[in-house]
Amino acid sequence: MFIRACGFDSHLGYLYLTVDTENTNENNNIETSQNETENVPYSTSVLVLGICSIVTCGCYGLPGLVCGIIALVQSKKGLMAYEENPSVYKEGSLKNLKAGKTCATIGVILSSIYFLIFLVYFITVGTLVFGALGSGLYGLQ
Amino acid sequence: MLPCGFKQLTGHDCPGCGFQRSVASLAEGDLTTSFEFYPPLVFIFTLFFLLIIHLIFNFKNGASLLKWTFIGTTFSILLNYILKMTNLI
Repeated sequence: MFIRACGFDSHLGYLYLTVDTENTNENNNIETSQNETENVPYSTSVLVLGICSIVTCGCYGLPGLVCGIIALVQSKKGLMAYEENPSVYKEGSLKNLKAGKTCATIGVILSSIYFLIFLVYFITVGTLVFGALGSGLYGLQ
Repeated sequence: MLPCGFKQLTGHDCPGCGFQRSVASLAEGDLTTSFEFYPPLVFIFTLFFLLIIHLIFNFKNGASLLKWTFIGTTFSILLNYILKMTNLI
């Protein structure tokens, strides 16, 4: 409860006191909670893509890598938008965004390991095969 | 079925080998064969089921539940691959 103004009104001839009750604060609280209706941008797509990033198989880990990297970029954008204006967004969608980011990080790490193993294998075998071919040709000459 | 490029090139199974056979035998209704082909399929289906349910109904702790299910799925895939490669099962 706050006293906004008090004094003596000489024109009307009485003492006055203007009081702010707690009702105004309550109204403010209601307004802010009503504002928290928006989802954090990209929160759903980050969650879906982050979970899809574990589907690494079939194409040398590339689908998982692509999904995971898109999810990480979008989660960065979403977090930046949230930090600019935290009171506007729902708390649940922020949790979704953070869970999606964790999933995407795990997915990207595993996919990149898988892809690197494949790449190393490919280079080693390729070098051996072409090396053998080259020495064979050299032998023929 | 799509062929596995990793298996064609290297001759070894990839972490996802068995997935399509597993789904195919599940579609035929053979649960035991499906589980034998690819055990992590149970976790993957649970994960996607939870994801769809969570996106529709927005559970309070749905995000952390999904995160831990995801980590469990990842471990099951890795464990399955390691056991398969070391011929323990």
